Amino acid sequence: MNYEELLAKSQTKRRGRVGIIGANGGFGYSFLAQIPLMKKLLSVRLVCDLSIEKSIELLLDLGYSRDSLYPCHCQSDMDRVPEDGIILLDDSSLVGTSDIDVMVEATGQPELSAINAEQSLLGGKHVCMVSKESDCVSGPYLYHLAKEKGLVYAICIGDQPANLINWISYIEALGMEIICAGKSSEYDFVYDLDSGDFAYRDKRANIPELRKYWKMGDLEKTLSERSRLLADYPQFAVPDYCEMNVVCNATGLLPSTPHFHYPMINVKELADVYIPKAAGGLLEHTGVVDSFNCFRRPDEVSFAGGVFAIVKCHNEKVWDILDEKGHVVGRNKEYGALFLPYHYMGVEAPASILEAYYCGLSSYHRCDNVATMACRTKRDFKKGEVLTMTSAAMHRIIEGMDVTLEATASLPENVAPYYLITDKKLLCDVKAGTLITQDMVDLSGSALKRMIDSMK
Amino acid sequence: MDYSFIFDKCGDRKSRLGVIGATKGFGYTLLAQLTHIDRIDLRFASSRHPEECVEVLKELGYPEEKLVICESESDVRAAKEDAVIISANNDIAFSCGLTSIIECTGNTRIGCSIAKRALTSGLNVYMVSKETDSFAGPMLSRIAHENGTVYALVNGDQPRNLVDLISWARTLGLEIVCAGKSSEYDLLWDGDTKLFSYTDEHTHTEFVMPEMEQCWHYSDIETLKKRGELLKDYVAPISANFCEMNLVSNVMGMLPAKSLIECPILKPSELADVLVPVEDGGILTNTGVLQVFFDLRASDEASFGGGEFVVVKCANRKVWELLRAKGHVVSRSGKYACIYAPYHIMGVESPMSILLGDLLGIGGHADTRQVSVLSGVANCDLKAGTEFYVHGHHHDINGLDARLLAREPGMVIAPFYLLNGKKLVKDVKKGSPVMLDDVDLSNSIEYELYTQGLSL
Repeated sequence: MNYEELLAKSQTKRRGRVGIIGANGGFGYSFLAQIPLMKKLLSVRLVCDLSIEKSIELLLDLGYSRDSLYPCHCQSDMDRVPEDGIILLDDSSLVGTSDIDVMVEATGQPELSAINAEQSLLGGKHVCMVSKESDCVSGPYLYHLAKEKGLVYAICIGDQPANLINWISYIEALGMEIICAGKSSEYDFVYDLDSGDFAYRDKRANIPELRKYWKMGDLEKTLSERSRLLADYPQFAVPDYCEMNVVCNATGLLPSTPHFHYPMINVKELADVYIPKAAGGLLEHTGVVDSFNCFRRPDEVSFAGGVFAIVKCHNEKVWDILDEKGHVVGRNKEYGALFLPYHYMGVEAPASILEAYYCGLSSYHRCDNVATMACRTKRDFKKGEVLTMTSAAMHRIIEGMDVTLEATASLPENVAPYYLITDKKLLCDVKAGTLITQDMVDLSGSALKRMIDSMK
Repeated sequence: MDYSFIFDKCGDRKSRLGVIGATKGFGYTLLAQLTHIDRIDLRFASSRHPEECVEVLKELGYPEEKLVICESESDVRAAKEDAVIISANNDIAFSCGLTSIIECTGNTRIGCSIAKRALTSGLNVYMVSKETDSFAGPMLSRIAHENGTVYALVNGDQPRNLVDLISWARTLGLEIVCAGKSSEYDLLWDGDTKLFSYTDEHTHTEFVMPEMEQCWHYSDIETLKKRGELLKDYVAPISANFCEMNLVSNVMGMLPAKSLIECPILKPSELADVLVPVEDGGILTNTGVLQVFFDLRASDEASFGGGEFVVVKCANRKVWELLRAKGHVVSRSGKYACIYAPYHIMGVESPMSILLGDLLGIGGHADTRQVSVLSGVANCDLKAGTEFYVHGHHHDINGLDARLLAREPGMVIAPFYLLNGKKLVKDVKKGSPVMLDDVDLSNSIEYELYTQGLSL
């Protein structure tokens, strides 16, 4: 797609006014750094975060002028901000009545971000959702609400879900069948074959035994040995389930297995691994999502947490040509991998804003509750315990819970999605090995619960 | 954006496509794909050998009873509305009720005349023949604009994919330092066995090359020199590469890099270190330019897939350090980053351009100009009477070396592919570029379109 041309076709002439809630994270920073580079198309109109002081600090650091910043605490404060000023808020309930065109939600707080999105849509603003934690629960409701209002609700480009949804839609529009789609781990597993040195982020180890399994021999043996030898390093992450949950809801693809396969593989091996068992791969079913751990050499380019799709080679001659030109085609020549090795966060996120504001286009073509992140207790829980997210092994998780991603249709109707129950209180004792359902948790006042129920 | 969504807005509109001259290579990949695209009906296919074309279409699963060989307009009238008309006569295309044609003959004279006629008859034209576009693109773009039709390059080949990538980067406000593609056919080396290998369409070379050890890891420009020396037999300038950069140059208004004549041998991870200005340790003496590189990789590593890249300035250090940590290609200096799409899936992807053009009117660039000119420099003394013909996979012309030059006022150089089928009327000394008045250009529609294009 030629973006300049797509935008040139748009009738909208006035520059788009953007607001962001939850500015003080990596995404917010990269987003607020990018918008000023797109002066002809977009301007930052509103920044909302818990602390206005922190927002000011952030914006000054990014080179925004002090004179353009207007802390506001009520509607009349906002009304007085000049055309080219930036509204600063610490109360997100005012966003819906501001004069922005598009709201970017980046708080990452499941309940709060759903409410923020709903209020913005009710206030006539397009919403680009960065907080995938709420989207995977409330996305279907918000998508349909937006449709009703003639607005766009989109999951934001720059993070893997939207990038993968778009990539799948591109490939499907070309008439190809998706066998499997997914993403790579956030960080790579880097192995130097010469020295036997291994690196994962800032961790280092010498693992000479791994060399034996660099080349793919027997698939199962190779994958299990790689995984075993690297057992000290995190090979799965709960946010991956969340991201793929979003993708399932948008595309109808289903989880490969409740915990994913998480193979430790090199890009080159994608089309040998994510193929049906009958063809020598890992998949019990096709049309599924998964996540892999990116295994590479030090001077090999990273997959950069990018996205991939495995397609069936629909014509032998065609794929022979593509193979010859270097595309990733499986050993048996039956499957090919097409991938985008990046997710540029706030740098590319403005594309979602442009699509919404200028073209009325969303990353969503549909959004249904196709998959659900389910939780099962790994220990006995007591009535009254709060299911708090704690930081462990780099990720925020609920301690004592086993999380899976499963087809919603295969779960009981009142299953409690992971991000619905976070920070909520248990209403009863729960034995180890129990699937958490909504009746076990105090959901009074939960906006997410209301949104789920309204979609029934 | 969701690609299925943008076409859903087009109701039940469809493309009725004529494929001009192709049953092999690119054309084959396209014909194979069209059977999977509901919104495109193949209505007409021209081939010098209609029977062969019928065989190919049958092989691809087109129903035999729909394939009708026609020699005249009355044959077409006698055929059914949903028949696929096959003919050696291109004129018939204009009686088939087409919405568009895709030109794949590679024949510059035929390409020019049928494209001009189609564009003035209300048909959109998708140009696969890069040779033709290299000198006729500007005027054909203008003719399309004046007639309310679309003249566009196709996705699946590098020029259009690169144009789209550049347009995306520009829209996001990224400053492009360099853009380009990898040359086809990678240079492979195995660190364990020291085996070097190279496979192109015709040959497979493999031998032990221990010297690569010295320049396998990139340290500075010296590494490039060593690689260039070591692999000089495999990195001769390729006409088709220059031609492709010529197309992008004309559409996007970018100049060829001064270093384009010597394409560096690089790993993708090195692009942002090398394709940057000389003062930052790179090889560019001009910026915002087009460059091609040869992909060097480990033999078990994924290829760049003849894909496309842009090297951009990192506008904000913190943002790009964050992206570097996530695996994206950022230069050692932290000043530049490389964004790339490692694929060009040929005719598999081209239906996208047809759908965008026919259904949404997207793909044409009315402001295409002859920004650079591909010159043919005599590589031996050439006598008057010599005839030039394009041949082979790399689209070479015997006796000439292709060189891409920025256009200068009053330039009277004959474009390389304009020389196809033309005869020298004067002797040309080795080392001299062929000038317009060196060849017989009487009755040449190619020359007519070229000169009209120059005057835009």
